Amino acid sequence: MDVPDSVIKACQEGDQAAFEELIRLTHASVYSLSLRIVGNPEDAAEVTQDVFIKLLRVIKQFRGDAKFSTWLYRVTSNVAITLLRRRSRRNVEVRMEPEDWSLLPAVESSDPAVTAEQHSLRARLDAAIASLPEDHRTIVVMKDVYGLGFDEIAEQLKIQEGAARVRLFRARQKLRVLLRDELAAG
Amino acid sequence: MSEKAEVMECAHAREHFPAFDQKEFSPQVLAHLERCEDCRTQLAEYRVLQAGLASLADIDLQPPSWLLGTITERVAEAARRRAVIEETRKQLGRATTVTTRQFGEHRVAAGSALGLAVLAGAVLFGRSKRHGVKVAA
Ligand SMILES: [Zn+2]
Repeated sequence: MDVPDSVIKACQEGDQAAFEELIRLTHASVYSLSLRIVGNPEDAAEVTQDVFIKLLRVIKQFRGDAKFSTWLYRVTSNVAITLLRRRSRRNVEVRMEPEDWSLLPAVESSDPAVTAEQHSLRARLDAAIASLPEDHRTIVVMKDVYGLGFDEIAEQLKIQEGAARVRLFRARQKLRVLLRDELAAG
Repeated sequence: MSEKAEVMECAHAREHFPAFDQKEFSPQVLAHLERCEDCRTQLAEYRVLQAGLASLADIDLQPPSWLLGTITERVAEAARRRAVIEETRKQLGRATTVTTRQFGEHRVAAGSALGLAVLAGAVLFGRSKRHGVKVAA
């Protein structure tokens, strides 16, 4: 995700064209993170829309002391977790089958370093993450994929940092077992 | 070292591998890694996992084609609504001060009006009473 500072600043000043540019530049990343947390495309699309509506209100709070992408990931995971909570209160969990993840097309990367091999590893990693229970999946996505800190993860999930760490370790252990063949070959 | 002791050492060492970070490993775990190839292999797998997971953030999944248009529309709608609410709030703010000020003036006016009414009522009542008395009589 690459958003010029000038676009962010213009958004903060209420420039609507700049906001549309921001949506265009970041909506696939917001959607991807949402999908990896909530586990199905419909809910991910809903979360993505809600994130940008929330951004209208909160973008002024971005002060540039963190990377914009990290800040946006934080806002996104927050909205995604809220949706998961709502769903679990109503006892509904809709998830794609892990094998369906390999069918999801990725956005063509402009980065030539992203090879076909990485794309197929991507599909297998996504499938493995999707097969984890929700609490493990959420924490692996937030910490290991999107690089959020333990403190903010614990805060968002309303658990202690120690508990977040234990949960993350369990998730990594499961992933290693699930992906053993790939990891050994890598 | 006995086979059993070695298995225990491996199990103990491996509990720490999911931390990914070798800086968090105790000297005992590091010493064990020096002499145990199986554990080195397992740790290497965690490292590949770590790198793979981190690389995922750079690979976006393709959103449905309608999503961009829908977000843009919903955001424009939300922005319009926000603008209306803010404008209304501003006007209400102005209206509220005007009302308070006017109410202040009105109160003076109302006060005098009430005074007049009481006076007028007293006058009328007195008159009608007298009149009533007159009628009754
Ligand atoms: Zn060992």
